[in-house]
Amino acid sequence: MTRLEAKNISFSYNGKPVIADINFTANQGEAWAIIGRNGAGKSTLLKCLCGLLRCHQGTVSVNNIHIVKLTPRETAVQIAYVPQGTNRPVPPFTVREYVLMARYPYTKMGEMSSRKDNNAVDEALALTDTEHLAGRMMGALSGGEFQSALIAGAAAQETPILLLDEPTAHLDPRHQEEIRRMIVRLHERRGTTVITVTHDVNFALAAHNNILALIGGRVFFRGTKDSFCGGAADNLPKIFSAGFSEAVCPDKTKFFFVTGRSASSIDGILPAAVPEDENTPLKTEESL
Amino acid sequence: MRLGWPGVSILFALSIISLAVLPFIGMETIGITQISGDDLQREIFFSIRLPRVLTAFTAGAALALCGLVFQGVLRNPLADPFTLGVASGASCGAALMILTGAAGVISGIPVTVFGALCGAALSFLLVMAFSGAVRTVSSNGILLVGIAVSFFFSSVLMFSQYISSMRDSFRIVRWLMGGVEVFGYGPLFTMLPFVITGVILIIANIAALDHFLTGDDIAQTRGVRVRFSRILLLGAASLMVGGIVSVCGPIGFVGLMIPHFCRPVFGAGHKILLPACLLAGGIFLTLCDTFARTLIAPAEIPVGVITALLGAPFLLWVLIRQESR
Repeated sequence: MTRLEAKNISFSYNGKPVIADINFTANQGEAWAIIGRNGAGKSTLLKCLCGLLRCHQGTVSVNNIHIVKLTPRETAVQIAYVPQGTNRPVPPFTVREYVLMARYPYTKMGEMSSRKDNNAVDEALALTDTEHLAGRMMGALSGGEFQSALIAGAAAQETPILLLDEPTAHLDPRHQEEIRRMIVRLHERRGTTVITVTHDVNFALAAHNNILALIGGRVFFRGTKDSFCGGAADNLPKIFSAGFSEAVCPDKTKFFFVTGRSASSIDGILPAAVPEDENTPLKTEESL
Repeated sequence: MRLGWPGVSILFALSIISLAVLPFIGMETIGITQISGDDLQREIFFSIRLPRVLTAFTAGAALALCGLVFQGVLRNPLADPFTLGVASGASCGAALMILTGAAGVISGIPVTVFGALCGAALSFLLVMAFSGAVRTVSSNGILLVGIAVSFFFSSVLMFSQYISSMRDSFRIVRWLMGGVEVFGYGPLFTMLPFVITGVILIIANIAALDHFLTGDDIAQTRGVRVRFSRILLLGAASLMVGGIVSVCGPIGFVGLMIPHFCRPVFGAGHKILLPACLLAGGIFLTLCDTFARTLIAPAEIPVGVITALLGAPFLLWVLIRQESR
């Protein structure tokens, strides 16, 4: 059982707070979507969770071990991270080479050609449905294919926890759906704990069981998908500062679409008016 | 198409051939029979030609490797010890030693070497410190800091040249053009320890070098100690540059060019690219030096002039090719 826990974490860039007092626990096999507006601190939270950023207050722990006490290799066998696929260096390798490189934490002196590593790569490519890309150069891929290859790399890392930063942003509907299936497969077949940052509420609900909503760097809602949907009419305008309407799909799932701006009183970073306690406009529900 | 290990073997064979053949070529071609017979020819061959070719090969190989490391770690096709100011720091340090007339050895190391190492270390630390301070440790920011540091050391050098005597000034200018005219094996043995240490440190971190190309965030979350590896790799390369510059002066553009020639042929994976660059760099500088000493014989052209003549247009080609992508 792997448990990722953040206790009271805060982080600021140049003295400007970005996230504050966030408490969050992801247990083995849960799928969390972290939603919020641009600049709400979602990506920063994700980077703190995998140790890329060291939070200024509070602790992040993996199985009750403080993450700063783990070496990068020890962290890398627990948590895989998929960054945003845009505006980043394009690895000058084929997809297969790139995915194989993800075996680094399991190797000594970077020797990556053992049968075990190659099997892990085959499995990761199969699980993410990217076998057809294996021989292509990363630089020659479309945006959707590139994002898939990044996720395939993380899958080859075979970690119990997978963090994804905006995996569907900038993608067309077909690739969005492919990414969603990938996440669901990793979650269901491997029991991977998935934590995804997104501002697409429908994608969040379609691939995840739990929702963590941030406003201004603080937790606004934390709980199951169903309880989130129950209060969605109230929550969504506050979270996204936009008006939403809901529709019910033939399979009874709810679908939300934007219907104009909403006059939200909450703007900017870290409003003191939204503390995470009993006074929170919405009841925060602890996950089990 | 990638050549892989067969290609590296070909380069290795070419290296052996050039090391075996080029010492015979010079102002006058020496025949194999003359080495055993003629005392003067033997002296020229073993004390001048052979050490010179070996020095050129070692320096070329090491400079190409430095370029590869800087380009890989900083993910910038224009990074190399020269564009980052490390070479000009080393030059400045060594030149100051020559100018102040300091001679002799400090704890077994010739003072110019000492000066070059200090200069390389100082400029490396300056670049790291400032790029850290302006929070641009990756990408282009570090190059800009490097250029600033490079200009700073160049002007220190110019100033000290200006106030020095004509004779010293000429020596510095000649030395700054870069060259591998050595007598005997002393200079080679001076720089070998730095080169060997550097190569070992870099090979030990070769996997990290690959991971830098995927981006620092992915590299770190895959278990690479990014900050540590970056400083170690760049530090090892700077150490090598210090050693080479102290002997050969600044020979530019080898480190910039060779990795760019090797990448399309050998791919970007450093396990193959690293030996390929070492060998190709060695062959390249040995050939350039052979031209340098035969083109207008009996006079010699400083080899740094030849590499720069080839390198400057090459730089433009790199820029244009990058733009057209």
